[in-house]
Amino acid sequence: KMMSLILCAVYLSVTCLLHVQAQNGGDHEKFTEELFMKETPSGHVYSHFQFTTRWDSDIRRRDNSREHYNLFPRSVGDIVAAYGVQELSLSLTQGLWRYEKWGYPINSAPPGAQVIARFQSSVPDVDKAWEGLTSALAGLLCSSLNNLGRTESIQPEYSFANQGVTGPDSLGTNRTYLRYGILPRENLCTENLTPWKKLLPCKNKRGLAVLLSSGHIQKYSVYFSLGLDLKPVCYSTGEEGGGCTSPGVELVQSVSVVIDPVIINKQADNTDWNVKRMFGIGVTPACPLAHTSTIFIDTTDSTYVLDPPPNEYLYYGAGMPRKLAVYDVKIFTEHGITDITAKHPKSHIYGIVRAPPVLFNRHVVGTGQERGGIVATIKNSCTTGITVAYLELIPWYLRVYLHTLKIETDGVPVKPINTVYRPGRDRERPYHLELVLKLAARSTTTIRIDMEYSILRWTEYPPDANHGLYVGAAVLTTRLPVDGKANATVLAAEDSSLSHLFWGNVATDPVLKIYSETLLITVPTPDFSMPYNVICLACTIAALAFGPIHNMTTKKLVLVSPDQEEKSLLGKIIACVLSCLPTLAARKKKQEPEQTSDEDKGNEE
Amino acid sequence: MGNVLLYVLGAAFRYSASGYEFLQLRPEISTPTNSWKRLIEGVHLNKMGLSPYDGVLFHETPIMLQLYTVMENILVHRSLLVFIVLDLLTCLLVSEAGYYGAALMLQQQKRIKGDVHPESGSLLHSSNLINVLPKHIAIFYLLNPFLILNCAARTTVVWNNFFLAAALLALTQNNRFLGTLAISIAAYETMYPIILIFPLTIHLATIEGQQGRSVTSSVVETMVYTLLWLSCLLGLSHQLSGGSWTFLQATYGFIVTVPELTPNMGIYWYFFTEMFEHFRSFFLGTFQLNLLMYCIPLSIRFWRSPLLLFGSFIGLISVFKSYPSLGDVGFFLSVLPFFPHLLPFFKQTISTAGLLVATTILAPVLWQLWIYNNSANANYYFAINLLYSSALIFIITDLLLAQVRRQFYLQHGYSVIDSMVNGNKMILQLK
Repeated sequence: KMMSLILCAVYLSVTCLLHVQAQNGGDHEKFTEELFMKETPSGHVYSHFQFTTRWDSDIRRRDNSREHYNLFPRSVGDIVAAYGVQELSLSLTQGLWRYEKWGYPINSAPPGAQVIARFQSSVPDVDKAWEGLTSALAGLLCSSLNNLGRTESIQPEYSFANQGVTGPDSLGTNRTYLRYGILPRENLCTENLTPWKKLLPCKNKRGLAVLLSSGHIQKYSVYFSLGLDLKPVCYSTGEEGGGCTSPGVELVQSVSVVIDPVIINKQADNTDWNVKRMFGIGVTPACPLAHTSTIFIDTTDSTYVLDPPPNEYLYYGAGMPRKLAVYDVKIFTEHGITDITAKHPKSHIYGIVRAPPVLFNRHVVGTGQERGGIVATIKNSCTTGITVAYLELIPWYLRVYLHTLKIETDGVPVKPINTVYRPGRDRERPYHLELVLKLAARSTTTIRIDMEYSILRWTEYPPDANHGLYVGAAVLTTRLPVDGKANATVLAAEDSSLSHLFWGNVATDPVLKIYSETLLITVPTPDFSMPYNVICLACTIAALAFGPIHNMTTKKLVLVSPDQEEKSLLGKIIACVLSCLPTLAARKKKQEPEQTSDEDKGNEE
Repeated sequence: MGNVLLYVLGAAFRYSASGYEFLQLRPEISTPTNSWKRLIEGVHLNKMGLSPYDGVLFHETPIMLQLYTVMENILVHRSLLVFIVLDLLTCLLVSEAGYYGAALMLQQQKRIKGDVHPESGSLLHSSNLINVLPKHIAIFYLLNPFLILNCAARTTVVWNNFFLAAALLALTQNNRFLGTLAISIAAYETMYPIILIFPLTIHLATIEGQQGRSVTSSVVETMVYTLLWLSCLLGLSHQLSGGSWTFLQATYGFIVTVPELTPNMGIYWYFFTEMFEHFRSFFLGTFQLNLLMYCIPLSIRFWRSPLLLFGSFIGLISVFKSYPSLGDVGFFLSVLPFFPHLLPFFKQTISTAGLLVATTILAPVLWQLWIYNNSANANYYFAINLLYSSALIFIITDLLLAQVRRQFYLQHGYSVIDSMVNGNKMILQLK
């Protein structure tokens, strides 16, 4: 009996140990799932899902030693290894993030698809690696990212600084290994979300990912963005605290959804919301492979009451700390699927919403399909001046005139600190304009540049050419001053998980990215239905010159008698008809006399 | 006195038209190869230390680029004056060429006077031609609306016309040195004027042949001069652009391969917009050769009248170049007064003139309808381009045919045409 008891105890402890081992991935791999929810001042609900996978495997390893994957998605790992990726940031977005109403998101993304990739310095041909990477990502996420070839991408000089750790061999900061491309017309739909969910350790079976049902999101969301961010992180630093000795890799998969509860409630002033009605299901038990599984709800400015109440409240940030309600999903869902409801005591009052400190908008000016201009407006309402980097990627079919670039702050011309300009080339590369500007406190700066719309070859137009062509969003990169910092949620560089940020690790050097609107431009179109006619007519004009010149250079002017006259083709036909006529007339005459005699008779009568 | 007034009037027209800045942006006047806006952009990029040939906007030659960079520093906002002065100088050169051309024609006439049919005396030039021709040319040049608009829009065609005028003057003065230089510069700028070397070579060979020099040596000398000038210009450009040949692709490559399909008054843009991809290079070759092809047969047929050859070549260039503009056509029209003796033999004077006027007026209207009002489409504008091109082609072919007919009547007199054979009237025909 003793023996069996001991055996039993040993068995239990071993299974327990194994279980713990499996749960934590032995600290080599760590998976966290988090959901951050916030009601914006305009009454919308912003939900940010974030799934972070950290792995101590060296990102630089490009051999087969990466074969063993536990939590980290193998398909991503293979792509990273194949193309020598150092950092990758990908977003697929439907809808436009309204900065002036919703504040700054955790993950800014432009409408459409965007890929930012930095390759390791051991990569021999960056352009080739970029083409390979975008094609692989296109396959991975079922989107047309493969169109981001050399003709659609640029190498930014001031925007998109390194996100992850740098320093060790081939994890450099050299800009020649950076590529950025944008596809403004790309749609985000179920076929992109499904493969994206399959990259998660629990797929869409367990955990917070269960909430991501495409049908509900597509139906109710006003903004829907999907992200995939990969960067090297440091696991241990050298003795002098200098470089990183063992870099690992961190993959952040995120989904941002903005839902207008009014649409769900079908009542204009009712902004109450609950998880179940927004996502079709309540909060389900956590993914067993997750190290932590947490829901944060920002309750700083809100008047609503959460039901059931959270496990605890958390205050984060200095100065005006933000109050977060924290739900630990593992404890919260002990009794099965549970809903979270937010109820407002009073109905919502719509009013002017306080805009965040830096706003960035862009529009196209001019009429007609010949030429126009792009005007970008940057509004800085901080009490101190800020430095911004403005990046514009303009497709080659809009010909940009740099000498028309005008930058004015409140009507006074300003000189940029730095200007990067690479002119585009037809069918080869886009126009790349990057400006570093110093913006005065409480000022509005406008940037204006003129362009011409080119007429393309008839096969180069997209389907529905008269709809127009899109120009991707411009990017504004800046560091917020102290008084504006509270407005933005910037994840820490060393660990991107929200828990890491909220539990006291505020980013030391928060860099903010703001995207502008996409532009729709109507370029002149040819008539697609008549290539043959155009070719024939233009050739006729060429022949108009050729015919007479050929005649007069090869022939002599002579007098001929009419019967020797050389007739043109038409003349020959007429002559033929005329020569046939007499015989016809003769034949007719034989029949005619009888008729005429009849007529004569009739006339006489 | 009258002449001075004319020049003042021409300058005044050009100056007042330049107030309309939209002229610089009209597709009929400014093409990718000559637009003022693109030139400024190139100068701006050059000043910033970027190569203007890296992009697709700038297509001027490196010498022009340097010239304008210097010019902008000196003149700042008064560059218009340079264009007006240059245009007036061009007019002076052309009317001077008119004087020498008239002398040349009278001299030629004297030589053939014995062969002229007694009935055709009225067809001969009057000796007053030498006084009348320069005046007519000045009027045609200074008051030509095409040239006024062209100058007001500050296109680089103004420069090109200047060199063409110089070449014309050199031809009438039998000046090999200047003629080859002017043609080389013009060809260096816009490539197509290289075909003008045919009339110059023929003329010089004829003149020197009469003085007892062998034709071959004369031809070889002209060729050597031209090649020398061209290589000098290209070498200088190579030096100016910092030892790089990229400008060749941006200038001549651009003219030959027609990569930009911005609408203009020619037949290339829509043709290559609607072209099937696998036929593109074939038709590019055909269209570019189309122009070159005419040189040899016309040179053989009209070698006795190099001025006519020169004029018709300018006309053919202005129709068949890949990016034609009003300025090219304007210069061709202002050369027409050289041939008053051919006017009676024109067949379709009224209809072609009407067509030219109508299309010139209709082009901006249909452009507006297509681009701004969206109530027309590209076909409308292209139809106008086609008619405009055919009007110009009719002028050229009429001009050449008139010369053939005049030759016939000079030789045979009028009465042959009334002679009867077997009771039928004879017919005059090319056979």
